[in-house]
Amino acid sequence: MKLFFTLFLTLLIYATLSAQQVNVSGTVSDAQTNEPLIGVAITVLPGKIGTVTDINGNFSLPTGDSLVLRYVGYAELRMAITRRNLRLQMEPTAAELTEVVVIGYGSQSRRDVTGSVVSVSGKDLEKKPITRIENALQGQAAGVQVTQYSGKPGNTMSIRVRGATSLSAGNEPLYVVDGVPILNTEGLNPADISSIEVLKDASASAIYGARAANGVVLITTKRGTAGRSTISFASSAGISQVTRQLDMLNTADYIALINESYTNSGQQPRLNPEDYTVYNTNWQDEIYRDAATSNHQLSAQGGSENSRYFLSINRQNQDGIVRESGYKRTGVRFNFSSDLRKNIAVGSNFNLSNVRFAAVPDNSRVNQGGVILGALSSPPLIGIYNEDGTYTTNPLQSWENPVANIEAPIDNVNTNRVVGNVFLDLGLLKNLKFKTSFGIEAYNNKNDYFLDPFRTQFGRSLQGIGTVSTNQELIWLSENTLTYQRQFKQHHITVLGGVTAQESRYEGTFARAEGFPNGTVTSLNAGSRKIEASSFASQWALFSYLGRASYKFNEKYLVDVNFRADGSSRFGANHRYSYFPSASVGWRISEEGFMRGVKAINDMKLRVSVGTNGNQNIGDFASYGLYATGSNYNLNGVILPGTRPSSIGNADLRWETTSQWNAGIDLTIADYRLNFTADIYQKNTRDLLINVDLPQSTGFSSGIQNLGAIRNSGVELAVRSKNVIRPKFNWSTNFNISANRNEVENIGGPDKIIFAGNIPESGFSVIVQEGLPLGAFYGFVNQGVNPENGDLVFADLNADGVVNDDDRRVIGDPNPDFIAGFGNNISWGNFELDVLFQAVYGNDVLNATRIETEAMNSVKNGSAETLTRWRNPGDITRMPRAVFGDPNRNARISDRFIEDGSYLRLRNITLTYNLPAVAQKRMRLQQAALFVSGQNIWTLTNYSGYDPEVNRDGGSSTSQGIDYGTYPQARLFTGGIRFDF
Amino acid sequence: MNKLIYISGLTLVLFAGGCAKEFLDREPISELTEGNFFKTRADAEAALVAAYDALQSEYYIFDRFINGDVIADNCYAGGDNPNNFQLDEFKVTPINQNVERDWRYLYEGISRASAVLDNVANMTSSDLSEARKQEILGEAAALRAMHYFQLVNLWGGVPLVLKKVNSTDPREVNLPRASVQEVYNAIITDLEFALSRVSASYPQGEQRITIAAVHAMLAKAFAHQPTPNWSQVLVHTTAITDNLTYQLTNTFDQLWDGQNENSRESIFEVQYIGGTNEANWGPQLWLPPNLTGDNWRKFNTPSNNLIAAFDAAGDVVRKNSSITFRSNLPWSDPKFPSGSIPFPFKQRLANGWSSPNNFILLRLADVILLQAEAKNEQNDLDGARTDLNSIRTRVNLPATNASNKDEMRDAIMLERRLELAFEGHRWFDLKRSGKAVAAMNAINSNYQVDENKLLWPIPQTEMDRNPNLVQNSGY
Repeated sequence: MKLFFTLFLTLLIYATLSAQQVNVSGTVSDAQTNEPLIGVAITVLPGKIGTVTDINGNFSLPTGDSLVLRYVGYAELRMAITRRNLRLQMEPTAAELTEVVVIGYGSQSRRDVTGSVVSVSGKDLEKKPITRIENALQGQAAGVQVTQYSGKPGNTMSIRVRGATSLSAGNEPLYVVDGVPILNTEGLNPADISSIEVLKDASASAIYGARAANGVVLITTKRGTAGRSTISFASSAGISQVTRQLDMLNTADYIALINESYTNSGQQPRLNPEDYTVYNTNWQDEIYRDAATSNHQLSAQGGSENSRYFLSINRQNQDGIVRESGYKRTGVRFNFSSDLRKNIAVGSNFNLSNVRFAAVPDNSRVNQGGVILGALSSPPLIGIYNEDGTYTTNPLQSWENPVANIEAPIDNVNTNRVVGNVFLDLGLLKNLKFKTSFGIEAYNNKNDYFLDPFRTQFGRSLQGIGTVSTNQELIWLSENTLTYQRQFKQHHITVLGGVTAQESRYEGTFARAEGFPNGTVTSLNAGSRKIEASSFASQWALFSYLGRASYKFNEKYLVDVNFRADGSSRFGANHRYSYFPSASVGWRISEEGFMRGVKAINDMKLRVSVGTNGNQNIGDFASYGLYATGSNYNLNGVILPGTRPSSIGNADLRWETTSQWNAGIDLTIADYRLNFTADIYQKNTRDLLINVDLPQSTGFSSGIQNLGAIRNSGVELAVRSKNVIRPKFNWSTNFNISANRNEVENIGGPDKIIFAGNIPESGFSVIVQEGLPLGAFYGFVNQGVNPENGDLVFADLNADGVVNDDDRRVIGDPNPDFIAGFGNNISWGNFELDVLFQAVYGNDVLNATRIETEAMNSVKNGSAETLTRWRNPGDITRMPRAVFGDPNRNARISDRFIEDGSYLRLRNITLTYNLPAVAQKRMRLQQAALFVSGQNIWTLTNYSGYDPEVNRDGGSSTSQGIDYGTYPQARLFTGGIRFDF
Repeated sequence: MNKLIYISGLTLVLFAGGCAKEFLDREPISELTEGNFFKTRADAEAALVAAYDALQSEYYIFDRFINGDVIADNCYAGGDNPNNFQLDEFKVTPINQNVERDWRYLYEGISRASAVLDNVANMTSSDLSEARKQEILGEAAALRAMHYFQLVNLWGGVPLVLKKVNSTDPREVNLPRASVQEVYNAIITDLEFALSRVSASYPQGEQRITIAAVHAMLAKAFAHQPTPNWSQVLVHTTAITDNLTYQLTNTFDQLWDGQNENSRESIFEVQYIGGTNEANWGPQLWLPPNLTGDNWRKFNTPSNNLIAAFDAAGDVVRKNSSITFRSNLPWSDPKFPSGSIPFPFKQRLANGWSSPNNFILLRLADVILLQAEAKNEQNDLDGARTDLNSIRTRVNLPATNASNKDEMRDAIMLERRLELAFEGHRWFDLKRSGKAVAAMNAINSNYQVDENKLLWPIPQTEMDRNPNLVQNSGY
């Protein structure tokens, strides 16, 4: 490696020293946006000496009489050379092709991109009541599946770029904000975003090597524009609601159900209807609410000749549709850059944020205090409070009612985060640039939990519980790169080389106290019994070399070669480094002579890439055999410290490696109005880091190993079209559709099985096995209700005369057949309408909520569907009998609970009214707009639960599409204003 | 000037390369590793403490009482947990969560003990005396035997893992089941290893594994193995009963009143300190609401059959010490139509999930009754009668009227039931007596107990993970 860099640097030195004398120089920018244009071909007449502009739009040439500037998508520009320093502007003809695409450690013109990169504009994000950056990608990018698996405001989402590659090392992409790789996007303000680029194939992402197997999301925040200062204020407010309620039994029907279920199990009826004449509580009404949401943005941007700035403050407040839950974000951004000298620029990007969550327990059943299942399972025959102010419980089983589980605990998470960097650009020589940047991501996070000492049983039994946990992490990153850019005649070369080092130190504390005198003082000092106090720390480091060479010949032939060598502290000394190369080629056929006559095609490019990436997202010390402290025991009244084995070591642990090829075509036709991008790819991941379940007889539950392979393959199509371009009427459409097929190729033999997705009392619902897609549902096959006895009949698949666990098979697949997005932007006079539809098709959902509401095996309330249950011999129905204890295990995991999770959703609709120019002028505004927006207001689906976009297990790779009392999705309506001064 | 920049740039790159190795060497901060643990005596002691800590797992706090008394005829499941109902009603399936977790808890305990045995033996630290080293090894071996004793009684033959597992290699981890006798042989080997190493007592009255505890465990192992070795039972019980250190407490209630923990009758007792992380959360699960501060239906409800057995024996003392009755409860129990519901009363303080109550795993009365049984089986009827009567006398019961070997066997078994109720022994005793099937079916014909149901199924999760396991018949 050292040798490589020595050679590389030597080459750079020689190349640079032979550079020519400068006579005429200048910058080229877009006449409309003032953005610098990269790679504009400039020829000096006479003599035909040429060059191209660099990434800042700069050029320099020996002087002559006049210049010819050519740039695809822009009108040709000819002008006489009148000065030695020129500032030139070109008029765009087709903006898409010339847009600057941010790539890892640099940027490229869209037409020069040879990898698979999707760009999503940050335009108008302040008008949408979204809380996270990931929302901005929903339905916008082919091959990128964004699953908002919980309706909790501000909750994390799951992003899959071209499918899941890993079982246990994570499947979320790497997020990079203004060059700083970050742990997650929490705290970033969507309205600060200028653009988002998703690097999908190995060529585009290999420069991020060890962390790029799941793709890379590059987030670029807004920057000031020289010469135009704007103060912008946007404010919106609205309301969110649960999209629907589920029908549950009323008091009379509940009593009948319970008594029948006891009678059927050979016991006495438990409830006398005459005792319960007062209440018929709809618990869903008691937990859901119309929740307020508001979002305020204030920003200032601008700049002078030498410096540019963007400042913003924002405050977003989104109450949850479940009472007492909510999300608040307050943030400040400061982006700045300045040219100190002609060849020296410095700058910084910083974001400070505070995010507060108020949580309510979900994804668990009433037995564990889950609020959503609590609302469904709690009987309607009780009120909310007892006379003494305590909460009512199920009279047959003292489960707390859901209001208790909302009101009695206080569960707040408060996170402060800073993400940013400072950088220095140094023009060493005409073609050689050095960039050094120092970035940090730091957060501290505190979770306060308090359970009132009086109102709930659990709280009373411990006289109140208080816990405090804190986490803090500091990650710093030093990056140093050299970029060399040069044109020799028609050869255009860009070479980048760099070294980066990154280090993290993580610390956490936890404390718990019990025995509180009252619910007034909730901090731990009030607890009489200090139960636990602990702290812990961890660390990791990453050291990398990276390089890229891009070569372009005559605007036609494009070659990119990327390389990254990553060393990670997480792996044993033998396998610490791994190398991630990639290469891609592009051929702009439309530039060929034989295409000159084909007027129908404005631009056409073929792209092919191949390369490898890695995944290192495992425990910091997974390769060690570890002993954990805290297994204490007391002898003679003295508590002694105990240390137990906690994990099995694996010195041979190494990286997960994902190899990917991609072939694509970019096609622009119809006078630049219709743009197609199509890609086909295959990703093969091997050496999966699997926390392999071990026989528990080892004393361990699992051990981490490199084992097995997963394959993803798919096709993607994106179409951008300008349907109507008129002075007062514009209509453009974005459409994308993609299909990914996922297959587990190897996890250690055809008989090897990994189970996941455990549903309490019903067992595992997911099987991972060779030949199956990740997350396949597994269970029994329901053949219907036996009219004789009311029990379900399950298929004896192996025909051995008994129905047991060997009669389970794959009963569903949570992976969609395809996903699609369809966005339209229509402007008509002063009105502008944005409509985005999003579709997911062919995925199954395990509606495990129904296991709770249709099991009829305990004293939980049942859904209205249970009214169709079997009651008497001869009844023909699909709903089995109610019987306490469920001896036949009717509620076992079976295809009875698998549902089609396909949906078509109106994800966003925003109508904007821009004040007429006259009015704006009168009010001394640059721009003023009123807007109304709706999110998630219409969904077409056959799914019977709250919402098919759901997962109890969050971003888990193995268990997906499980609905188990998950916080439902909300429908949001907002309205607001925006002024630019 | 430019050259200077290049040279410094070059140096930066090369320097960074040289440092990279150190930069990437990161050791755990909050955990120990195979490489830096087991260096000093304190390490050895800490590993042993963790092995003792396994006795505070949910298995020994709660599940052992379900398995010992609920499955048997002493208790109903109570509570709300279908897993417990399955156990109570002999409807266990391989996905029963208790079955699954108990397997895990016990083997985790075994792993902790094996970590001590494998590593401490090779330690050469100067601060670890040879005598203490041998004691540590002995204590760990006895703890391992205790877990295997539970395993073999619940599942029959189980995989014998006698080394700490340090590899994920399937050949090392996918062990087949050993036979029942092989497991007992391993238990006896561990205990005999321990017998020559542990102390008769420890300084400051520390309740570690003592010689007497090992003798008691050996006696139980020889009594419970498929073909009991009564002469060995007698050897090991006599070793304790001859030792005047151990005496029955004056009154039966002293064992449970919380004032006399670690009494002279106690041979091995799991230690707790209330209100700390070392507290016992078990009593909250079965004590009545006025002692727990909550109002949900409690677990392990004493059975009518047991109450009748106390009453039939005229055993007022032990009934009153073992069971407490409450009326006007927030729930009704069809098994007790009068509304007066019984609760186990051998751990009496709930203290908000944070009880100071120890619980006794081995005590002299158990050993004396085993001794009586060994004498009876070896046709020493008088010896057996003397032992049995020594237990009865304390609780104001008359001398036994058993007049032959069979009657004496039944009398001892009944005595064990009443003496040791809610202490987690009943089910294993019933099974070794050969009377479990008949006894359970007599109580409730719906149980339909057969020989197969006397053993649990291997947990489905374990079957899924280890292809070399064969399921118990009937599951």
